[in-house]
Amino acid sequence: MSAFFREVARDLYQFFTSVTLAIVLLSLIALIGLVSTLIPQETFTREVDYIARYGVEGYTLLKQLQLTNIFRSWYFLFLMALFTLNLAACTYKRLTASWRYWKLPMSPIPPEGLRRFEHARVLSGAVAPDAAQSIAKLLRRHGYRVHEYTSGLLAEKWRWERFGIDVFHISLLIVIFGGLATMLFGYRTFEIAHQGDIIQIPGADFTVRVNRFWSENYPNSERVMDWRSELTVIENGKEVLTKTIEVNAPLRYKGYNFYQSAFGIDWQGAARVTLALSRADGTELGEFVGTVGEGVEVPSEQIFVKIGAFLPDFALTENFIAYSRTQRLQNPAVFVEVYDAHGLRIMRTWAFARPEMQRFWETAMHSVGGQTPYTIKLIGMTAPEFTGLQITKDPGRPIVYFGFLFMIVGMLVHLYFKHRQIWVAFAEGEIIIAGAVRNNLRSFAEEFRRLVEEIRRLNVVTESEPELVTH
Amino acid sequence: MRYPSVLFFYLSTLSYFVTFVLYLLHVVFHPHPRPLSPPRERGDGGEGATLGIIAASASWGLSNIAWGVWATRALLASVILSGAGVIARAIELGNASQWVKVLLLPLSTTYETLTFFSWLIPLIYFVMERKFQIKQVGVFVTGAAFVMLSVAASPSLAPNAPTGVPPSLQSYWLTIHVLFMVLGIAFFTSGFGATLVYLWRRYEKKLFLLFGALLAAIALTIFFVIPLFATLQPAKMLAAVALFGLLCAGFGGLLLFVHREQRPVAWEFLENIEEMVYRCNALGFPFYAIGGFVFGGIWAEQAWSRYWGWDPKETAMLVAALVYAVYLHARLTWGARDAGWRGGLVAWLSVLGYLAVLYAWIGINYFVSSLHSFV
Repeated sequence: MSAFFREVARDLYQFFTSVTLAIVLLSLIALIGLVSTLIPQETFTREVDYIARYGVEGYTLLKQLQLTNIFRSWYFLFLMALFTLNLAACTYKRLTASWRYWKLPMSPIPPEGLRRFEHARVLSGAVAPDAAQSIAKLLRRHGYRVHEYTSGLLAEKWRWERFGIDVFHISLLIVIFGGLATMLFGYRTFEIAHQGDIIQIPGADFTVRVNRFWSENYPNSERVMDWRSELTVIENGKEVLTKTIEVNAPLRYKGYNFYQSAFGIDWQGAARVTLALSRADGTELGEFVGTVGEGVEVPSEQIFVKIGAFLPDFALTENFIAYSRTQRLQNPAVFVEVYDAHGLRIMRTWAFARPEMQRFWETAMHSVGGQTPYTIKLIGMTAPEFTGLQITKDPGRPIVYFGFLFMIVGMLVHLYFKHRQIWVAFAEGEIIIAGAVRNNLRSFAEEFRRLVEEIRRLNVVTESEPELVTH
Repeated sequence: MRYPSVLFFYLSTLSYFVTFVLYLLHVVFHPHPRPLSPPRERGDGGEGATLGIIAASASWGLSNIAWGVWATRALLASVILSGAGVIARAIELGNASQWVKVLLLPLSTTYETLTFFSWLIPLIYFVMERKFQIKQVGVFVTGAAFVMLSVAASPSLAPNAPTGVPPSLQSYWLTIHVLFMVLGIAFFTSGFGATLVYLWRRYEKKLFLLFGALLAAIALTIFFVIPLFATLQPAKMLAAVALFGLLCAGFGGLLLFVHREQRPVAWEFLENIEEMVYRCNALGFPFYAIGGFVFGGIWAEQAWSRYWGWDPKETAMLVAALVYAVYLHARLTWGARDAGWRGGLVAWLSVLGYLAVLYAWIGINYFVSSLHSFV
């Protein structure tokens, strides 16, 4: 039985250490990435925008295929899990290979073998007695570590660069690990705050107060120069720290980060609207002011007008869901419900600020047979500004930065340092020089040629006079 | 003139066009790239060796003029001109932005990016040309710079008055992150130009056929496959996938067919150009990858609270980096041993990688709205 398991384990190890698997996985990840750039992702697209773009059926299909949130889909996560396993297995395999290589010293190769090297030259002639010393000196000047043995030299440089690719692979694992730590133990939320709000953070022993927030424009221009919020950290009832944050300059305190991430007018959350009411017969009832989510009493009529929702830029999807196309005040609309004295709803409707929209809506309602006891018009609206704060806790941050450092070092070492080895063998009446480089870098041919040229100029080989051929 | 940078960019547009014509004349009259030359000693060549072929004959004839030498000189002049424009633009942008916080590279709008590239790409190419002595690539590079400057000068793109940068860009990471990205792209562009020369020498007139087929495949993908897929009706989606498979198979088959026809002997003369392709891509990759993953990640954490958010531009950049990673692996493993691989799959991977870079840089802006929507 144990033999069976050993076999399975070996097969699994071979499967996960295969380069083919890595290439297939990388290609699939690239393909999924490409698809994700063509279909907007849920993280920055609202449901209504999907429906406006693909229709209800298309959106349902996309959702079933998990294409709208492709990076959280089971198949992508499965691929990433496979990739991480593959990476870990390959790193382990490569690292042991690199270690064995590191431990394995260069060994002399007999001259016949050296002659067959791609980079090999033979200098023939009488070899000077101090040839070994002077060639070794030359090679050392070029940065080689030289080992002398009885009939030759072994020289090499940058053997350590063999670990560069391992460092790079490990850095990827570290970054994945850091990201995982953030995902599992981190915390992330988005808060809309008004002036004076106190933000409670679950799990933290402090609160943060939003003192004030403002935006600055460039001089004589409509362009925003900065959005800023002044935050005060309150711990045990004492003010500990006050900092003005802006985009690119978050507040960091006890592992929590506060980012300035939105700024605007809170139409949908806290609009204050002015409504003009009249009876169906045209009798004016006056103007009433109320806030979204709350309502207004109309004592003379014994009714209660509830303000359900406010949309700054009203639009309908194909299945008649109302949504706000933008956050700018382009087609403001308010949803109101009217209740009688017994709390029964007697009407509900949308009220518009643009007269043509109001007319269109009333006509449409009439044509479907709706006869409403009151007419409601939207005649004024204001809303407070808000600041949007992204709050995160990111325990993986130091790990990820450490991984970044490894990544840079590993990549530079692997790409720009290549392990070079030179063998010099002294034989009867000749010196054989051979060289090798990782990846058989082709510019090495030129480097090797120049090196041999320099060795030749040392005059350690005296070329013999051509012999006269006598018969 | 209120904005000197505009004047400099107009002048350099003209100058790049002249340079382009000179390079074209060089290619027409000296069509053969230098074969793998007998090795030279470094530093003993003097001006003649570093600047290319000096006309030896005194007889009058267009082919006796050292067009390449003049092209290189014109290239240097153009680079200096557009460099002056970039510096002027940086100062103007700084003034408009009230010198917020740090020195900003003029890279905050499409106009600025295009003009910056029209300086950086030829500059990088100039360095590579000095190193590898391959002037044929200049046609592509100066042509690209001319086109970029012309596009930048179009009224829709050219807000001649610099505007202040938005809050999200006010960071020194703008300089670091974007500089690394554009350096990467500039090296890739030189590499792509060299790939074009290489492929031209390799396939000669058949290259038109291949590129025509490639462009047709891309056009069919954009105009038929993607809309068909986007209808989201299962049958049509399947048809789209099948059509895409057919297109890939068709191009691959054509490539294989042309490969079989080729005499393998000619490749050996092209090793020098291929080396230039490899060096450009190998130099560009760390800039592109480190600038994107590491510096982009650090900046995104400061500005947007996360390192990596699968934003469309980030994802497209990942795809491009993956293709170049595959190129480097293929070049360093199979390509190192076999000239057939170097001339075949590896060269086409370089083309594919550059297309992916173009998609991440420009193409993506037309598909999806993204956090990176300023450039």
